Amino acid sequence: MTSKGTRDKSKLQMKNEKLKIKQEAKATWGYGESFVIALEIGILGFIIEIFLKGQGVRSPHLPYNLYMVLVLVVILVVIHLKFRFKPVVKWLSSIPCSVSAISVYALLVLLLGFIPQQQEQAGWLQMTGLSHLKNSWPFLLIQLYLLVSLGLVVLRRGIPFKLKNLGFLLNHFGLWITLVAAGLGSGDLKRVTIDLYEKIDFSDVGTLTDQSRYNMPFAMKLLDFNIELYNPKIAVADRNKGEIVQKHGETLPLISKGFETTLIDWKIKVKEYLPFAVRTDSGYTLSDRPGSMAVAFVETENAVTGDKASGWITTGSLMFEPRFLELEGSNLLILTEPEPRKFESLIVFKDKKGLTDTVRLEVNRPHRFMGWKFYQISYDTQMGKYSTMSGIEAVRDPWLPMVYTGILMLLSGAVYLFWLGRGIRSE
Amino acid sequence: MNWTNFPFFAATASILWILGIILVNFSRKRKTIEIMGNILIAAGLAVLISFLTLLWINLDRPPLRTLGETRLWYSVFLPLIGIITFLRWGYKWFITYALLLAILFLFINYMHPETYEKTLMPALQSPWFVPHVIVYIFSYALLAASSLVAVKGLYELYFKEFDMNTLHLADNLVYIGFSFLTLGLLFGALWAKEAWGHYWTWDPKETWAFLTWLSYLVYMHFRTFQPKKTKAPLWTLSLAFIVLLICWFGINYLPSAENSVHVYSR
Repeated sequence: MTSKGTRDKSKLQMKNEKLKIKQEAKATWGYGESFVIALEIGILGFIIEIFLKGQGVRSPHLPYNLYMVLVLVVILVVIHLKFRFKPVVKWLSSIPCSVSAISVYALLVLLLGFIPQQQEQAGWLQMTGLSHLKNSWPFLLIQLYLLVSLGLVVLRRGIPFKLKNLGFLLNHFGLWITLVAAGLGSGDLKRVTIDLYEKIDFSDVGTLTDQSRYNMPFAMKLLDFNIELYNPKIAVADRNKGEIVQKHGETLPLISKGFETTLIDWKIKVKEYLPFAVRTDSGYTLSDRPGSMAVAFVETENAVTGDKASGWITTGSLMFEPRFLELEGSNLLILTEPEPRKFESLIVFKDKKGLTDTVRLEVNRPHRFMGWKFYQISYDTQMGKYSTMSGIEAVRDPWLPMVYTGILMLLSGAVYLFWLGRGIRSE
Repeated sequence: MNWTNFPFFAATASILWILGIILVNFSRKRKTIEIMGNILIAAGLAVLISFLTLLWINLDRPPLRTLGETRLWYSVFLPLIGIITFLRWGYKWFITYALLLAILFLFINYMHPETYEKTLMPALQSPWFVPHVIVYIFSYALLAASSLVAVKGLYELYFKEFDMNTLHLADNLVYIGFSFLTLGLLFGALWAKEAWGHYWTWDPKETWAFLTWLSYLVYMHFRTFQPKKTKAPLWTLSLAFIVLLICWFGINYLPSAENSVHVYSR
């Protein structure tokens, strides 16, 4: 064969190869097909939801949700090992497929963001699942579509493992784990609200999120509820509009004895301040007990007209009406409800064997006991400082370690992304 | 130091920045003029940072609670990103726009001044508070910067000649911005677990934060698969920013948001 013949033949070979690659690329679907399929899956979900009269779908609890995870993993691994060269599988792990899955998923989340989500609601919102999207068939099917695509991508890039793919795997596998654990784990999530009262003996009853009663495998007793409040603030209010009036750039200051400030047109001097007092015949006296309120004696002077006024203002309480100082126009000087700075409960936990644990529960400082985690959530805001009720939430989430693993992988992946971003070349 | 001193600091910073912009843009290749411009810009930034620091000390709590306070951080981070981008890649138009945007935020703050709020509710008293909010603000600043680039790219595409470097710059900003966005989202989830009992409750802010995250995710995947395409990614980037804005401001106006813990206090 002459050299020219060899050159011609290799040119032809290259042309054939290029054509083959083009055909193969066309053999997998592109964005158009991917979006159509994704939308069809979503619509199918809505059809199922309507067919089942808007019941919604919930994740099963252990061990069934665990079986489902294992089945999903096995299916994905088998698809990858045996069928990964098939066009359908190649498409499932392609970017057009993933972009379509993410986009339609985002569309459902968008609906979730706009439509108020309530459990019981008659009408077409309930029937189509739109009023309970996160427990609906369309959401489930799209999530499954996303998990299949994401799972195959992880397998494709992860087997065999190469260090340069670490960042990619942290992000993608981390997301997969988080979505699966959060989604399927929700079947085992228990959130129980418990209202505890001082001086009441041990209680083991709480309320679930669906308002049903729940007997807990342990008992709790409230020894003491304690709250620290900020001082109340002084403000000018419009009597007719019933709201606080504020001037451009002005502050609502915290009150204290001897404090001086200017609100709108009035110069204000606080001559006396009692954080907890009761009204007596001769005025107000300090008294730290239920029914007491914050009181202040103020002197005001209108900077424009020169009019002066003075008197007591109070926050009021369960026993006393609040008191205001009348100013010019339809204005009043008022004392606002003090806001909480910190609140906590001293609680005794007891398990079935009688073992106890005494703990101080504070907001942002939960406590673990018997596989549950306890949170200080609320108190009787009407009684305020003298609340003898403490609102606690007990949460049990056996899938949490898996969620945390996924989150940790995503955090690491995010750091990796940061380093990568610094290195993208410009031309 | 409180918000009544703000107009003075804002005006000083703005004047320094405007002078800096003029010098940088009309330097006619004279390095010394450019450097002087950079120094003025850095000085303006220093002025604003000192206001922020003094405010923090005086408030007795991190100034991260109200919308105005977050706008202030934005006005600090955006010029910072602008300076770094300018030093790294030399884009004059970028630092100009970044500073103009920062001045806009200062102006908005001037028109909607703050109340001097010393109180901080118990749920916000957590070591997660500062990292979660700061990381988010930084990410928003970067992603806003990327949207500036996208708009410029669209302008180039439709009216001039498109330069691929524009998309590369956008990519850089998005990658870094997205990594901080992810951190912010996850910090929020971890904090929620400590404070409220569950890491994800589909609260409107959480939902829209997730939507923002998904939008930029679509952009990044699109860019990876079809790096030569220009129109689609530019429009995706612009739309993603609208989602971000809704997440940042818009949810206060949505009917579903009334009981959200994330509604900024007034």
